[in-house]
Amino acid sequence: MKHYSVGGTSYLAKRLGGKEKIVHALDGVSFDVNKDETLGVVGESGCGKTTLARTVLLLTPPTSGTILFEDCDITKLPSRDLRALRSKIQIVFQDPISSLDPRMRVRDIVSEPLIGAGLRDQKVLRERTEAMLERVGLSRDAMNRFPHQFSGGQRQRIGIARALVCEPEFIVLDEPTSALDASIQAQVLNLLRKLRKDMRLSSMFISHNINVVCYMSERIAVMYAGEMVEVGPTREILSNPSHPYTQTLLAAVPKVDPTRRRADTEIIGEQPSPVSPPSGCRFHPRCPFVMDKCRTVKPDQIAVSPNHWASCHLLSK
Amino acid sequence: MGAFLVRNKLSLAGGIVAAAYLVLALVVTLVGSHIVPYDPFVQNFAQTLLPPSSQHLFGTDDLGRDIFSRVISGAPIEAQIAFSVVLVSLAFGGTLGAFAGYLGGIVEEVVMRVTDIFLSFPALVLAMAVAIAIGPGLTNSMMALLVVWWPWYSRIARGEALSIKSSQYMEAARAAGLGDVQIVVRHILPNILMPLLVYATLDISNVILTGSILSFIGLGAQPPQPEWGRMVFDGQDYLSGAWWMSVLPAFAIFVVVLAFSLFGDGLRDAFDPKLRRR
Amino acid sequence: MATPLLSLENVRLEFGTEQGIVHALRGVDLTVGTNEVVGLVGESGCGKTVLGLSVLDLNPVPPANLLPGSRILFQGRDLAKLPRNEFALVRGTGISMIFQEPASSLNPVFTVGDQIAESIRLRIQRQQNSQPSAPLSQTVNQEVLEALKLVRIADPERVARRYPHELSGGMKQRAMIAMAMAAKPSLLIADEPTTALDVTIQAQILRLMRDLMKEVRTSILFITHDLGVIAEIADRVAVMYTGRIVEEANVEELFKEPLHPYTQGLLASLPKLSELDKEIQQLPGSVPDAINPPEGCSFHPRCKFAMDHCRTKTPELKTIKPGHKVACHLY
Repeated sequence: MKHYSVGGTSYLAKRLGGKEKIVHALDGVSFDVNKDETLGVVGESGCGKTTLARTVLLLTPPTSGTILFEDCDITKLPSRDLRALRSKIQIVFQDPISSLDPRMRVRDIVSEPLIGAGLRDQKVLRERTEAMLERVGLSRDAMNRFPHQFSGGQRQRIGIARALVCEPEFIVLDEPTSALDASIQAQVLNLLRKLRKDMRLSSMFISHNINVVCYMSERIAVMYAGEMVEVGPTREILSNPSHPYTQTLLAAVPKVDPTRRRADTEIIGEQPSPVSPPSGCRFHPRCPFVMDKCRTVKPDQIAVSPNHWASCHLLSK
Repeated sequence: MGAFLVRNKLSLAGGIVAAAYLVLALVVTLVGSHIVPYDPFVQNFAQTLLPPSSQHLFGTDDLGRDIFSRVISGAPIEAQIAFSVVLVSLAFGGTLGAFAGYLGGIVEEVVMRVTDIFLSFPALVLAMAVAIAIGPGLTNSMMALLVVWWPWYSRIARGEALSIKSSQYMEAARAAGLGDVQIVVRHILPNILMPLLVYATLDISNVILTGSILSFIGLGAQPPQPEWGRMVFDGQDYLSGAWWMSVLPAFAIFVVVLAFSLFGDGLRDAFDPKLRRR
Repeated sequence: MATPLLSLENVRLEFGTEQGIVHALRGVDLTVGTNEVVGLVGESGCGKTVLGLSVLDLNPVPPANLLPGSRILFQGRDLAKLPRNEFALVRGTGISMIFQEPASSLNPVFTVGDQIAESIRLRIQRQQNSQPSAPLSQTVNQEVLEALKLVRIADPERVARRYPHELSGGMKQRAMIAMAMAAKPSLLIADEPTTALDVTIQAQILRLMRDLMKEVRTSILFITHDLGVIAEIADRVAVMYTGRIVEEANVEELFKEPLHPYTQGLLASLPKLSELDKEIQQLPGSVPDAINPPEGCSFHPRCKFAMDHCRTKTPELKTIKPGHKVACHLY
């Protein structure tokens, strides 16, 4: 059952100054997130995943396309209804330092979504905030303290508490552990796994770290230069990566095992600028299997197996 | 911050003098003319234009009034003008600027253009223009200053609002479903308060000076109010002979303005992250 | 046994801060031999960056303070005892350093070529300090192009004329490596050089560094928090925790049989593509405060094997197996 469906969404920003240029931050991105499922989104810097996180929640409205939450197109909602909807869709940000207002106490930070949802009863606000803080592993006396009194991992827990305090149904996790040390990351990831099971959340887990994304997600979407190039169940993508970029990415990830050092496959070039993406298939300048067709014709989404597609001309043979 | 002020002696000296002045102003407001040796309003034609002595510390003026008593009694006036102008400007200008900076678009344009118009004139000239229009008098000169003073705070507030507008916690507030007004009140105003306050402290000396000048040119306080600027004005004709009539009130203005100025400087330096030596 | 290229003995360093004294390095012993890559791994605050900077005396003094008894030997010579001009020669010709953010190490108002040329010129002048004439610009330019070719930049003449902001992240990092390698140093200290880069670019840079090591016979002290990168590039690994080295071994040995509970915990806390079913093990607690680290073994509050005397007695770094040292009371 589709919980969250994004169809053909684009975010084409206009960059001004001299010549008007279009920044193709997101170009025709389509995917679904099913109930109780986590979709992982992986890609390198500039692929558009950060823009995707903002656009999916309409923090930055897309320039075109539809976003359906439980069959309702939220891009068409008037702003008041959209604000009311926000208690059901929430986000955890990347930076534990700048995502918390340094001048607010923790209890005010965490209870903010409840206030946004219209809750005014001080007693209920306090109870729910306390309960949520306990669930993320922080003690009650955290309520009256300020963010700078906490460590990075604890601040991220505060951010998680804030996102979950109004019991949303869908959350976006935008690089939630990228700023944390490895040992703290493990704590936060395990906490997220437990919470999403207990609270029956659907979510989107965005990260540049493939290991983390695969650990946290049942399905994965690979992004490149503003487009999704491959989507499928995690295990299938790992065992049968079908898009050349996915293959490149998996080959490039350092394995935590010195006996399995990468074969020295040559990986060339860098991700294109979103202002002037290559024609046809955007990966063609770096693709080891490039054909003539790839330079001019954009590939369709081709099914590799029932749940797994990739957009590559190689697959349409 | 306290440690820093102690290191910067001038600033500390300024702060102490400013604090002493405020205490004095408060005492005079509460207790009135009981603490001064002579009634500041009573005229005594037998004692006109006496030079400073042990009986009249600052001498007497052309109407026989003790200047020292008048200076002390007039102390609260400067403080009242300065604090009310600064506080109202900060509240009004600061809030307006915060909204302008956060909302952007046409609101920002309109507010900033209006601000720019005000800012293109020196404050004194504008205040004079308004004061002339509405007539002389202490309250009128305060209103004139109020009309003219808020744009500076608007501009600062808007700049600060712009710089925090794109912080992640602002995005989080929107993601939480808060409306624009809620966001400005909950997040922007508390975060811009500090820079505004620092500027305000420095500004107090400016307001005192401008207010005194308005009185000095006859537009502000009217006789017999013992406002310092007015007293300087009154003593102009006697500068060659009874210099103490103008010079001593002018000196009082100078000391207070300098004190607030030095203190405000030190406060600003204490909050400037680049100057902090770690 | 040959003299190691770099030898750090009982290095202790503290920082004076307003909150108290930060014990950044608390007795570090480490060697780097010729032609090897030594990985220095640890989480934030463990002191690995400070250690890297200490070799070239780049920690700002004050507030940094290298405590007496610390010895840093390069090619057998004590760096602290070298006269200034000789130490200046070591910096940049004997030992070079590259950092995490190439953007902040490259001057934005000079072209890449100019910056590489500057380090070459300085090196030539220092090496020929009996003839302080400026080196020929032809020689210098030639060396600039060679340095750029060394880091596999396809069009060196064009790139040399570019300003840093015109280059991508990966290219900037290559430029920085070119600058560091232009002097053909015997030792390259690399502090998180690939952390800010995309994974595919990181793979390219790591491969470049391995190749350079073989071609130019430069040893590398590779500092990072990323165990995956260490597995890719290091020959030997030293694990740091709160200013001390807690384990040191060959890279295969470390990953196959980690002995120190911290190393074990760190490895177990990483999600691995080959083991997605297992829930990752988390280490409890967090990295301790560097101003007041726990007494005895500073890992004891988080260690599931902690015994009584772990709280009071600091374990020494001892060789347990050939080539494998651990600082832990379990052994």
